[in-house]
Amino acid sequence: MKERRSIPGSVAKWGALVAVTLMFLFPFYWTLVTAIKAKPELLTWPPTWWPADAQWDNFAAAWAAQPFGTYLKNSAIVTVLSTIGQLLSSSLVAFGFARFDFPGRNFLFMVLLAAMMVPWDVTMIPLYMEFNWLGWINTLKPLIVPAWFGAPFFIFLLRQFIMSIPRELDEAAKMDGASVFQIYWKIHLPLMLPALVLVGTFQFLAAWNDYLGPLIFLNDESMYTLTLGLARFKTLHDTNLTALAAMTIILCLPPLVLFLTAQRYIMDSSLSSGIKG
Amino acid sequence: MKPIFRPVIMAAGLAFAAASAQAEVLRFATWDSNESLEIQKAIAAKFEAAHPGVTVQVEAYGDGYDTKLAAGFGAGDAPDVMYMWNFPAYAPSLLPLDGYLAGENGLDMADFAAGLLPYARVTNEDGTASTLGIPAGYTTFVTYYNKDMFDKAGVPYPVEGWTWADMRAAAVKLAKPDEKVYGYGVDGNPDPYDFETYLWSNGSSWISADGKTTTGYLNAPETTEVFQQFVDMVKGGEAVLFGVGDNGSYRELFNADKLGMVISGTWPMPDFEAAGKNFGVVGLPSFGGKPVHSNVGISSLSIAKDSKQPDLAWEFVKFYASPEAVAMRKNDIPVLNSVAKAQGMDTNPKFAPFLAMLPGADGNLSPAFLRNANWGRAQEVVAEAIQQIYIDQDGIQAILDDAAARADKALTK
Amino acid sequence: MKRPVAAPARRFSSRFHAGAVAPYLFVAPWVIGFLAFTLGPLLFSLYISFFDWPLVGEPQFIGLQNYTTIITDDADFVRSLKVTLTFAAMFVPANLIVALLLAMLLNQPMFASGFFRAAFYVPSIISGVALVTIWSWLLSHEYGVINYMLSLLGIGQINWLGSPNWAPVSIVLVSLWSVGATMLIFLAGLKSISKELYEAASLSGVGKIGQFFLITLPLLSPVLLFNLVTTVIAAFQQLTLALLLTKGGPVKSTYMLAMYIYDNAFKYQDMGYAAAMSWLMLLLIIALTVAIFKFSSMWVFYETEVKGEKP
Repeated sequence: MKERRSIPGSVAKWGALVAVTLMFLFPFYWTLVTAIKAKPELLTWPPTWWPADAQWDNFAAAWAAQPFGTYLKNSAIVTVLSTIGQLLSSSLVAFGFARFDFPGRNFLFMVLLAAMMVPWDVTMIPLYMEFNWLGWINTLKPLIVPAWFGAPFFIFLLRQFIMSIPRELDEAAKMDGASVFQIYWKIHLPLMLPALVLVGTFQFLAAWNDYLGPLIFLNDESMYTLTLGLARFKTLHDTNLTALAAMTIILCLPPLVLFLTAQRYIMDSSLSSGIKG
Repeated sequence: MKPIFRPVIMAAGLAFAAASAQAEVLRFATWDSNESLEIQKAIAAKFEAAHPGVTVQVEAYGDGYDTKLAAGFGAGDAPDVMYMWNFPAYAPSLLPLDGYLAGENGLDMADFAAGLLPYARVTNEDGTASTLGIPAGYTTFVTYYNKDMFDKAGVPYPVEGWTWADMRAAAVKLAKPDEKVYGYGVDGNPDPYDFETYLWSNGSSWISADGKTTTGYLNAPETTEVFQQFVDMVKGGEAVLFGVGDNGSYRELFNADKLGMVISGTWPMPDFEAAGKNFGVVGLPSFGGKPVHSNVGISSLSIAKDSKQPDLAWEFVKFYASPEAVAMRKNDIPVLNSVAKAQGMDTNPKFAPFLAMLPGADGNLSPAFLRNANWGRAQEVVAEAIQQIYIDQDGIQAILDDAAARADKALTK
Repeated sequence: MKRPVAAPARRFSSRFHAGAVAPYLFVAPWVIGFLAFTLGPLLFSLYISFFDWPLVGEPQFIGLQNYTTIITDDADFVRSLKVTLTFAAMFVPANLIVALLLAMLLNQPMFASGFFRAAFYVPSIISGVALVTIWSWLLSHEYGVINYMLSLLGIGQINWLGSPNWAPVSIVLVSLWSVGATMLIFLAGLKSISKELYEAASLSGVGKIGQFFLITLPLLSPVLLFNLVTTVIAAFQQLTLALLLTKGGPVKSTYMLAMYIYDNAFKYQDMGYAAAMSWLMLLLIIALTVAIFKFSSMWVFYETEVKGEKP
């Protein structure tokens, strides 16, 4: 760790970092610039790097164009509730798969993996019928409840993490008289924290950005989520580029804040090395 | 039961009845968004005002309209009333309106603009025909031209009865390819439905009148001629090809004085007006004097067959076609002649060309999807061939021959 | 956590045997959810795959005809399968390699590491609809800023989304912008590899490249397996980009299997045919995954498998 790096190697590393960072961030910059340009300026050639007259009220105009306050409330409910459910259920199931040897485990696990591969298109209509039968259409339930039963992707992810936690920890706790549930709750959940924050972030983003789910299962504008509103700036005959760009920037902000807060937990090496016991 | 309870229970019963009457919700789905959606909501609000106890739930799905509608029908949970244009595809789940239309129904059917109603009639398997929708708004196709660009280049404005040769001559004078300024915009990825306008105007069509084959139509010399002309315009630099690897927003080009002429329906007009553009509207150019036929984009209203409240739905559809509601639709052309007249559209230079294009849409021409219920798959083949033509810009006849063979196969699926 | 020895110490074992029911209680939530929200709908779709099942109207039983038509007489299916395989062949290695390289770059102790980490991940927080709008605008042929920058470098304009040769490549490039999730999973895996291992290797004179192959790759292999499987699945199910960015075009060059299924279901409203096709796709993905897992025993290494071998 303390080893000395050669100067050219370091220059190459930093060069690569800066170049890649620019590639990753430039589209955001361009979205921002697009959001605050007056429409005729969008097509000037060569393009202008910063608008001659920045239209900051494009943001307010985009927000006012639809009931985004209502959409925000719905998105927040879906995102928060589904994330809580996903964290509890997926970690529980992952623990079951990683730490128990029970008849049918391998079969169930293969089924779990297979479930991840089921194409969306064809379960959709039967699922719609089912939700309709339950009276859940045009409510937020179809977007929340399934998350409380775990998702294969997250279960698989957490299982891989739990498998890298030495079993000696479990054995020690067991000798101290802890029940399996206590071992899950008191030992594994804290150790899994980085992975859980990862799962929470992913689930948050999946719920926040979901488009097809809300489109299919919601009818009334008062139930819409933010992405449905965003998509309405794009219609058959026109795309309102400025409004779309402005709303894109606004929609990015909550996940951005979340990620910047969460990444400390995901990445903190002291936490990760905690896995090593 | 003690007498005193009786009024209480009755009151409760009444309150319950009132509450359930209150809860009468009519679902109405539309593909409109932005300003056009606001118009739909205003019309729905008017209907609510006239029908106390009824709530109209306006459902706007924008780009996702077809997916959403298909899912709703598939699961038996469709809206009561919905925007509709593709009647053959949805025919089995739409309520035939002939029963309501028979006799005195409160609608003046003769007042509807000519040629609109046949678009909502489909032939049933037993040979009879059913009306599945009532038009609420429509548009034909016209040419928009940018007056400022014409003035600057010293080119006279287009006039009714002009030809594609006139159009091309004007486009050449307007174009400055170095500055990305063009006379005309060719859509490289058009909806084949809209594009058939040009085929009709050159004496061709996608498919035979009996809907059995595309061979001899899709690859007819007249069809090839149309494509050759557009390809020549792009190659000559007088026209920009959009929609192939571009956002295809001709509106912004037009508003930025980079596009002299564009052919479209009423859709971009509010945008041009909002941008304060100095623009004119003229009918479509003809192919060397042949009669011009524009296709028609119609927003009709249909009722779902399994709607629980068909009578209320019909009241709503009727209200949409009433002069009061039709007059509120500012973003397309009134379906009622009386309203168009009352609004002075027949003399307004920006709207008269839309009306003038309409009689051409009448007659024996009907769009391909009305001629064959399997057109959907064939249309994919056609759309692909059009892309190929604009990418290769060569070998048009061969591409169309191949497409005709594949489209015919798709029709039999 | 430390308890008095009230409970008798149980027999030491490498696996729990905490009653026959406990394991099932742990996995029960998923099993219930699976039965309700996946298996039910899935079996129903298998059922309708044996029918001519229009979205609306009367279904008709036709046996295996949907399957035979797809396999023997559907040029579009074959073509979209080819497009999908080509896409997967580019998408999977590109995503894994870029994600791993970025993760390794970030795993080094350096100044402002938090900033770079955020920068690489942040594109992944964008919703599909917005992502597609941004990129179609950036990659626009006539007015796109990327072509403008290329023209400054003296490179001619590329029709990124409008040329059948470039469009599939563009989709892979756009997908790389959202490589953040895969990268984070790699990074979390890298973080959990103990530094002492590298120090010990350094002391024994093993170079950087040797360390990568002797330590990083083996210890990262469970995570690599996870990313490999999920990326392969993502490649086969790719719908958003194809649907929204290129609409499967131009000239069907990005018309992938998932999109063809989607069209059959929602555009042609032929649910039976779409169901049969998605079952074929499901079987294909399962076959691939089983192959990956069979093969994985040769290169995946779970730390719990080596007992007491701590550095």
